[in-house]
Amino acid sequence: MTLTDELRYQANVNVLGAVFLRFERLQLEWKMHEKGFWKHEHLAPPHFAAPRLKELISKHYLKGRYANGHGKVAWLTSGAPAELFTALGFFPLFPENHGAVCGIRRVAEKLSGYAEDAGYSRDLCSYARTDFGAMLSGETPVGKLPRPDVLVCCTNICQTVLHWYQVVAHHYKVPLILIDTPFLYEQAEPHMVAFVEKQLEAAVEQAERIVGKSLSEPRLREVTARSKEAVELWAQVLARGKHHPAPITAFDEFIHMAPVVEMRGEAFTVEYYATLLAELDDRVAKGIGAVKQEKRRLIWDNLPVWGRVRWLSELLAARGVSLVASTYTNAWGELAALVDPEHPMKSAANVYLHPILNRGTGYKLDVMRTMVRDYDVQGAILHSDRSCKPYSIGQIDQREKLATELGVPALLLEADHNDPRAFSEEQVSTRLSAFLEVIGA
Amino acid sequence: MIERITAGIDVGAGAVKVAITASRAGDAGRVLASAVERIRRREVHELTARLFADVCRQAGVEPEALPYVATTGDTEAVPFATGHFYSMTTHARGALFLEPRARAVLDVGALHARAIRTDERGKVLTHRMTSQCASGSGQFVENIARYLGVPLDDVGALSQGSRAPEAVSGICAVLAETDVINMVSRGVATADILKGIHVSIAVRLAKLLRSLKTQGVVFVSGGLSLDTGLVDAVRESLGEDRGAPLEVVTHPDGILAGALGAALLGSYRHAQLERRARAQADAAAAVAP
Amino acid sequence: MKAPLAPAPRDADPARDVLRRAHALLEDHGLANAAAWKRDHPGRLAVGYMPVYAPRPLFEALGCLPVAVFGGGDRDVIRGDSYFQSYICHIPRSTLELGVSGALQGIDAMVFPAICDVIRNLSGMWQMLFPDVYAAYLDVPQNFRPEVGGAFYRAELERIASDLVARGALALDPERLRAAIVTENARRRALLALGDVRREEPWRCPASEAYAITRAGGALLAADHLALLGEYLAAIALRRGSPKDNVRVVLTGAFCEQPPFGLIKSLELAGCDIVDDDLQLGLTYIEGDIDAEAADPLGALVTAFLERGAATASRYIGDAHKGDALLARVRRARADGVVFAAASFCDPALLDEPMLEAAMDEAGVPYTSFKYAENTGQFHVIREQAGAFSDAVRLWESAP
Repeated sequence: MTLTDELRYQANVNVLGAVFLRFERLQLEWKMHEKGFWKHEHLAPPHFAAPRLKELISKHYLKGRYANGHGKVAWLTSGAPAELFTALGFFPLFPENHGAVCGIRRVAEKLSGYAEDAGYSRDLCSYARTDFGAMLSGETPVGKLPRPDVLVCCTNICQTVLHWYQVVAHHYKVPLILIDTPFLYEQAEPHMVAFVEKQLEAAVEQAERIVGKSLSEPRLREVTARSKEAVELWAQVLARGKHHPAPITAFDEFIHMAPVVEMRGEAFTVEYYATLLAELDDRVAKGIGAVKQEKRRLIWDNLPVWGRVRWLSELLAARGVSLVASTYTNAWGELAALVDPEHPMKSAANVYLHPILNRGTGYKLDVMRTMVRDYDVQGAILHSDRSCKPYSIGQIDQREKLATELGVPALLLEADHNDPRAFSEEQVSTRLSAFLEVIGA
Repeated sequence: MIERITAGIDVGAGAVKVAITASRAGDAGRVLASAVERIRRREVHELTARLFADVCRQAGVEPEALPYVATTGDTEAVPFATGHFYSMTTHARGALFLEPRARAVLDVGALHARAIRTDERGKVLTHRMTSQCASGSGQFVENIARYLGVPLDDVGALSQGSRAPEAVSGICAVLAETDVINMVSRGVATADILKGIHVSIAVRLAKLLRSLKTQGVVFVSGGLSLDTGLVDAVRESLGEDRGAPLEVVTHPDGILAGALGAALLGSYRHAQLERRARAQADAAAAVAP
Repeated sequence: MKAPLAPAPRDADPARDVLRRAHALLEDHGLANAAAWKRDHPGRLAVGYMPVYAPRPLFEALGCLPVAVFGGGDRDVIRGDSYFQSYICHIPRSTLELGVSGALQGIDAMVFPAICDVIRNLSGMWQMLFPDVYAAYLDVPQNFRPEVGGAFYRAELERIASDLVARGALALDPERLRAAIVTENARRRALLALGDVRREEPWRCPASEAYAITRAGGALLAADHLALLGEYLAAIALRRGSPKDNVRVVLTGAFCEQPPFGLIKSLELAGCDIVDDDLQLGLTYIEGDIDAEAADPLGALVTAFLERGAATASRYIGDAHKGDALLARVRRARADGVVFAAASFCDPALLDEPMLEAAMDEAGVPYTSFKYAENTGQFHVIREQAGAFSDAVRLWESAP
C-alpha cells in the first residue's frame, strides 16, 4: 500500500464517492415523497429503504474499485465464512453477487460469451461463465473489480465452485483457500464439524499471513455478533411475508438480500435491515401489500431469473399474485439461531455446514412444506435453473410431493438465473398463465 | 529419393477400390494397377483380400514387399493394413493427383456426399457433409434407376438428353421416390425424371460447395463422378446460383480417388517415418560412446 | 515397417475366451456375478459404489463384494428420465433406471463418493426412493492434511464400516484388511502391466479390449479380477501381428459417466491407438502400493488416499499446476496428442478442460475435444473428428 493509493482511496471512496452517493440517495428519497411518484396499477411503490440499498451496494463496489492498494481483497463464494475475512480486514468480493448484478444489468450474456470463446461450455453455470468473462475481459457494469489477493471457496453451496475457483486461482495466480464442507442428510456429525473447524483454523492462519496481521478474537466476536444481528433481522424481514397482504415479495427480497450476503458483519447492514423491518411493520399496520390486490400467494424455489425479476413481478402482480417467500432468500435467514458470537469458530463450522444446498433434497422439501404452512400459499413456482444443478435436481420429485401430500400445485419453470438465452418470454408467460388459471388467479 | 510402391484400399459402403502406386514420398506418382468392385452383399473381408491380391498380381508386386498398405473408408475389414487415413484426407490427396489444379473436392459416394476445401498440398481446410438422409447419394440414384429399369451406365447419357426436367422433392429420399412413382404413372419421360433427380442432388451439392466458399477448380470424386448427368447438373446449378465461377472437373478414375490418395499418403508417411527413425538412430549414435 | 504378413485368422485369437467372459460381465454390469456370489456367501453384502474412486479393499475386508455401478450404459431409460431435467448429465438417469427397474435388487448398499453436485443429490434421492437399501454418501475429502482431511476421512470410513457391519458385514479385522490390500496392490500392478503392453505394443492390446478387461473387474473380487487380467495378458502375449501406423493418443475425460463402447471403437477405427486413458481411473487411482505391512491398515488406506490420489477433475490439486499430471501421462505414453472427451453437462470435466487444453497448447501437444453421453448412438461425427485429427497429426504434424 502506498500513500498515493491510500489518498486515492480516501478521496474517491470516503470523500467524493460518499458525498455523491449520499446526494443521489437523498434525491431519490425526495422524489419518492413527491406526489404522483408512483402510478403502477398492480404494484405498491418500492420500499423507502430502496435508495439506501442502492447507496450501500454502490458504495460496496466503489470500495472494491479502489481496494487494491488500500488493503487486501478476498473473493469469496456466497456460502464462505465471510466473518473471518471481514474481521481480518479483507475487502470481501462475492463473484456470485457480481454475477447477479451483471444479470440484472443484462450484460451476463455478453460476458459469458467471452468465457465461451475461451472454451467454457454453455453446459456450465452462468455465474461461473459471467465471472470468467469479467475476469478475461476486464469488463464489468460496476466500473472495475479489484484483483483478488486470496480466493475463499466453500463447497457448501455446490461442488462446482471447487472447479470454478481453481480456474480463477489459475488465472490470477493467487492462493485459494478451500473449505470442504461434507454434505449432510440430517444434522452434521461431530467429526464433520471438527473437520470444518480445523479447516477454518488453517484458513485463518493462511489469511493472517496474507494480510500480515493476526486475527483479533474480540473483533471476530464483534463481526460475528453483527452478522448474527443482520441475519436475525433478515429472517424477520422474510417472516413479514406471512401477513395478508404481504408487505414484501420475494422479488423485493432478491434485491434486498445483497447486504446480508456481501456485507454481513457490518454495522450499517444491521441498521439497514432494522430500517427496512420498521417500514414493513408500518406497512403491515396500514394493510399495504406489495401487490395491490393480493388474491393468491405463492412460494418460489431456487435462484431468481436475474434479468427478469421486474418482468415476472409485474406479470404476477397483474394477476393479483404475491410471491410471499422463497427458499433462496430464506437460506440467509434460517441459520440465525446457530450463530454463536461467543464461540465464533466453532459456530462458523456448524453454521456453514448447514445451508440448504449442503443438505439432501429431502431437507429442501421439508423447508417448502413448512413455508406452505406458515405463509398460507396456494402454489409454488419451482424455477428449474439450468445453471444451478444442485438446487434443481430433485425438483421434479418435490413437485410431485407438494401436489400429492399437501395438495399444493407447483409449476416447474424452465429458465436460467443469468443466461437470457435459456429464457423464453413467450414460453414462460404461456406456462405461467396456465398455472395461474389452475390456482384460480 | 527412392521410389516407393504402396497400396491404397478404399472400402466404401457400395464398392471396394484398390490402387497400387509408385511414387517418391507421395510425389511424382504413377498408378501401377487398380480395381473397383461393387460389394453386392458379399463378405467384405474376403472380397477385399481377393481384390487386393488381384491388384498386387496385376502390378507385379508381392504383397509382403509393399512397405505401406493404407486403408481408407469406413471399415475394420483390412487386418493387414499398415495404417488408416480418413476418407476426406485421401479423397483430397487423390483429387490433387488426378487434377493438380483442384482446390476443392466433391466426394459423392453410395451413402453420403461431402464437399472439401483443400490447399495446394491436398490438406483439408474445411469440409461440410450432407445430412444423414440418403437423397444426396449414389444409392438413391441407383434405386431410381432400378425402378425405371435403366442400366446404371446409361443414366448419365439419358439425363443429358432431357429437355424438360421434372422437379422432385429434394429433401427426402423416400418422398423423392414417391414423386418418381407418380411421374411414371403420369407418363413423364425417363430422361426427364433422371434429370430431375440429378438436379435435386446437384442443387444440394452446389450449396455445400458454396458454404465452404470454394474457388477455382472443383474435382468430383466417388462413385457418382462417373455419372455425367449428375456432373452436368452440378455445373448448371453452380452456373445459376450467381456465386463465383467454379470449374467442375472429373476424371475416369474419379471413383479411385480415395484408394489413390491412400496409396500416395502411405508412401509419404513411410518416407517420413523412415526419416524419423534415421534421425533417432543418428541421435542415439551421437550419444553412444 | 513390414506390413501385410498373413493375419492370424480371427477365430484363432488366443484372447477370444477371456474377452468373451469379460464382455459377458459387462453386459449386465456384473450383476449376475454378484447374485451368484451372494448365493455362495449367504448373509454377506454386495456393496454398490459409484465413480470415481471407492476404497474397495475396505469393503472386501468387511467380507463384502464391491460392485462398481457406473451407470446403465446405453440401455433404454424409461423412468430414470422422469426424475431429472434436461440439463443434468446422463449417468444419474441410467443408474436410477437400474434401481427402479429392479436390476440392482441384489445390491444391499450403495456408496456415493463425493465428486459432484449430481452424485451428491442422487444419493439423497436414493435414500428417499429405496429406503431399504443402505445409501451412504462417502465424503472423500478435498483436504489432504492427515490431521484434517485424514482424520475426517478415517471417521467416514469407520462410519460406513460400522453401518455395514450392523447390516451383516464381517467385523473390521486388520488382518483381513491387510490381506485385501495385498490383493488390491497386486491387481493394480496387473493393470499397470496391461498399461505397459498398450504403450509398447498397442497392436497387441487395443484400448477397447483393455477397457473391457479392466471394467469387467468392477463386480469381481480383486483376486478374481487379478486372475482374469493374468489370463488376458498371457493370451495377448501369444498374438501375432505387427505395429500399425496409428496416431498415439491419451484419452482423457475425468470419466465418471462411461462413454459407450462404440465410441472407443470408433476412435480406434479412426486410426487412434489409445495408449492411455482415465476411463476406469478408480482402479488405479492410488498411485503406488498401499502399505500392506502397516500396523494400522485402515490408516494406510487413508494415507494412500491423501498422499497418492491421482490428479483428476474431481480432486482438488491445490497449488499444483493444472495440466502437469496430464502432460506427464502424455510424455510417459509417448503420445502424439490428446483426445478430450467430456460428458455433456459434466461440471468437473468441462471446467477442467480449458485449463488442460491451455497446458497442452503451451507444451505444443495437439488435441481434439468432443462431448458425449453414455447413450450416444451416433459416432460418425466423432469418427470424422478423430480421423481428421489423426491425419493432421501424422501428415501435417499439427492439430486440424
